[in-house]
Amino acid sequence: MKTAIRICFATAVVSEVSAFAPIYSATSSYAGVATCRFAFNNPDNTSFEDSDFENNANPRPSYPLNNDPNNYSNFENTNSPRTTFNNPNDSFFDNPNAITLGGANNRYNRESRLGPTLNGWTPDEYSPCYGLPGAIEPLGYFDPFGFCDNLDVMGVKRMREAEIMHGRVAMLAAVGFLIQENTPTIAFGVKHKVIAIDMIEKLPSKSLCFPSFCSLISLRPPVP
Amino acid sequence: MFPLFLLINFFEATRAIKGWVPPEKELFALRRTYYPGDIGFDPMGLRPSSNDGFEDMHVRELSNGRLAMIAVAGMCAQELANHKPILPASFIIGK
Repeated sequence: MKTAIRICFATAVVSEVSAFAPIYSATSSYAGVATCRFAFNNPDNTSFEDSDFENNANPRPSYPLNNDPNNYSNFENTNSPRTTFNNPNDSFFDNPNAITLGGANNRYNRESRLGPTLNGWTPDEYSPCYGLPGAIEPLGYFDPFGFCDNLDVMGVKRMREAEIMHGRVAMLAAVGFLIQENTPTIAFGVKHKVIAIDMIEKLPSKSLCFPSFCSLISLRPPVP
Repeated sequence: MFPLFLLINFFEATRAIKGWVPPEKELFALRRTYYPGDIGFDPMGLRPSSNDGFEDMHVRELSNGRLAMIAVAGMCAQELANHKPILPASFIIGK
């Protein structure tokens, strides 16, 4: 029984290590994406950044825009001043009533060279970890072992996936440690003195162990 | 042990299908439109609708998770060292 449990755990550990990077708390980046964009602002001002909203250095031109979102008569007027959509100082990007051209030029739904915008995070190649949120206050960007050096966006996302998965499992485990030792369990009775790290090896039931990767293979999605 | 492992397998396979490219096509690759950790499991409606609120909750979850990782490592080390429960005996249900 003991060897069966150990083989089962070994297969689970091997499958996890092979699937995810064995990094527990590696990825972190700037929390304030807006601040980060302000610090790493594009010097030639070819893109429309958030710093333009903050310092108001470039006052938007006041166009006679029609505020009715259902009225598209402005776009049929050839004398409309809004003829160049690539002007970064244009208020077209800031106007909530304006039509976003397929969503590609909208600052909330744009796609950078590195990847699409996901939940407000656009991959920014000038900031550490591509501006992925997670650098919390007392330490900031904390990566002393250099796990995120020389990684692409996919690598950083894999690291973050591994971190958040281990974090969720650890949040459950921290509760389960304290609950299991101090509450009645089915296997050990009402008043037991089994500590949490011995609970699997001291299980009285001889039930079946099953390698985890077998059912993972059976649940694999079909190839499209 | 079998139901426990089956439950873990179910959750892990669901997460892998949601976020990862099938291994026949490419190994060790996340989907391009997958935000790490955003698997769409939100039964209590805690996820904010705005992007700023999502970033705030994401950072909160990350900091709780980092603290919990350190805490579980400390609990395991402490129990391996002295073989006693973390909390004193009958802490919750009483004597």
